[in-house]
Amino acid sequence: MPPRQDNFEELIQSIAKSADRASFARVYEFYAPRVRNYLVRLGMANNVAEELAQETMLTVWRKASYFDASRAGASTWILTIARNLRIDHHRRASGRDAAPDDPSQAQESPAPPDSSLIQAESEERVRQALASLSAEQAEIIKRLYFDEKPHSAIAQSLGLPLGTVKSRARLAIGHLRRLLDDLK
Amino acid sequence: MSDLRHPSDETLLRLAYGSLGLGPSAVVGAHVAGCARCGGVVEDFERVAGALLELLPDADVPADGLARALAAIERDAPRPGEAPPAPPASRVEMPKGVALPQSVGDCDFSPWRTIAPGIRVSRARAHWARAFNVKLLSVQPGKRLLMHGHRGVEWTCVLAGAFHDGRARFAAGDLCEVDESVDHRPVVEPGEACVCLVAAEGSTRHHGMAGRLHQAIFGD
Ligand SMILES: [Zn+2]
Repeated sequence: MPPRQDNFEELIQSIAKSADRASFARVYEFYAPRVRNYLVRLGMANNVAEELAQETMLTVWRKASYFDASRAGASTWILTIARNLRIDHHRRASGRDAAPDDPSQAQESPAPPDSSLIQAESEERVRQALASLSAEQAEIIKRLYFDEKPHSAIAQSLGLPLGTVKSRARLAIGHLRRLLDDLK
Repeated sequence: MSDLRHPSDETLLRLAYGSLGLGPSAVVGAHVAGCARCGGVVEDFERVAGALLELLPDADVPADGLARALAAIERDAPRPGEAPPAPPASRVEMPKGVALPQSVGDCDFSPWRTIAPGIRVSRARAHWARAFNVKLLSVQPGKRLLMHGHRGVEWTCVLAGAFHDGRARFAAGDLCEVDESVDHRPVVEPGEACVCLVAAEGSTRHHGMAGRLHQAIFGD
């Protein structure tokens, strides 16, 4: 996996500042396919995932002024937008209730235009923390995140009995949390 | 896993990523909204999720996606700060002084129904919530619930009052997460009725004749 090339935090800030379409294009090219992949992995049909990935990117454009790099890096911000849109979609699709709550649309004030990139740096350190997990723990963490039925996926991919998966998962998460704490 | 009054790390991880079911997400979200400790953990897990998003392969998207997005942008000028439409308010009569958590604030609930002496239930009616048996429970002070286990995981957020389940005491704001390894028999403290918001993955199993009878009658 090559490291990401662009500084997406700056690109999003330039969307906010000057409605810059070229910046948006670069953000789109990197994130739209990944967001679509994220949604499909959570069990969404291809065509719906594609539509919601598109909606996620349009939300990035519309809400760019709310992006606060001192609170979350670009990837984290975009992931939470996609996550909330997916929840909205399922809650709406199931009838009876209409509008859902969307934490990303809560009463946040627009971010100051030149906020620092502290959080983006810490996202980089999160990448380092992930890289310093053992291969088995990294695999467990990825399955916990990416798979709908993580325990059976872990059992299968690591050849572990289902009974031991839970305790291994707990150890892996505990290790990850200690690494994250060390970064603070 | 030291403090039983918070969700497990695995639950918080799945909440952060969005892979936790909608029902449990609403119940756990009600706790996290008022718990600084769990709010911080969720933010950590969101950061990891963001880093992992970058690792996902960039599978095929339609070649005209960007062009369509740019066209949509031209049609619809940015509207920063525009307020989202207010969600419809939920229709459920909450016990006096108890607020319905915001995470289910737009969800319709059935009228309260007495299912056993001293125990009333109001079920979420939205389809997404029914799939996880999301319900409000109101239990009279001093009442002992049936000993029960779980086939999946069950999350209970206490909204008012308190109960003890033999392992720990759970009061307003606390979240009790139990899986199939736990058989518990919650007892509500004297004084105040205990009101909870509950969701489950899988189903509840009751012990003994009374439990099976209860299950046959009430279906949970
Ligand atoms: Zn907590």
